[in-house]
Amino acid sequence: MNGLQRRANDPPGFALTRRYDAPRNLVFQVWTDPRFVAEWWGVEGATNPECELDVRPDGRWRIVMRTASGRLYANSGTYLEVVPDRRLVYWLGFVAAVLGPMHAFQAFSLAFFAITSGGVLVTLLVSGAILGAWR
Amino acid sequence: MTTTDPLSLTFSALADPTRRAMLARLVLGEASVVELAQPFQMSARAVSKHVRVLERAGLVVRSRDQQRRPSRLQAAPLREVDAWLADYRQLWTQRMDRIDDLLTKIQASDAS
Repeated sequence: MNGLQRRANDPPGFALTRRYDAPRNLVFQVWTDPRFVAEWWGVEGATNPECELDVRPDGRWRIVMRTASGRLYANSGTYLEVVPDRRLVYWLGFVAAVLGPMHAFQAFSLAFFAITSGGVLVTLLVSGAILGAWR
Repeated sequence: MTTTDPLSLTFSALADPTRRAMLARLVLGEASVVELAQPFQMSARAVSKHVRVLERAGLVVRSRDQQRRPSRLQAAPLREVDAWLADYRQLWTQRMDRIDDLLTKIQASDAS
């Protein structure tokens, strides 16, 4: 797993790993097919009425989420690197109110899909920055 | 461009891949125009133009240092970054669970 850990001087972010008992191509499909992504994206109790993913380098993606209380939030970004069944690198931008004022966020996400004896290991690295705030 | 709405300014500034790459570089620390130009086949003049777009959108600020005029991210206080990342990590943990449920459901329906 060398190279997948976060280093001390990386921008603020986090790493998550999860093992899935499923074929790797299916795990990758669940991450990239809009019909599946619409089922798990968003927050608890939300639905995703719009989900368009152009999964190729420089392809745009856009997901509109509707929360349980009916508010709509749009997430969008660009795929930077797509290696089928192995690797997905994308950029995400969104705007939200956190601690009062509105903020613009951006995050770089890298997802790796590896076959291990215990199943498909997904490693997700996220680096984030807040790019501005206004009232 | 005639828009002055901060949201539109931010998003049009973020829409350009070169400017996003510059912001990613600035996440690591301040940089001069020459330093920002290094990864690109681009003149200092073209880089300055991108920096001005980012500046106008309120995404970067330039220091008054006359020689280098380094740019840095107009970052919100660190506690806000931390608060967001803690929430975002939690959100992804829940998504990983939902992906697990979905994979189980798909494989069960394929088997039947």
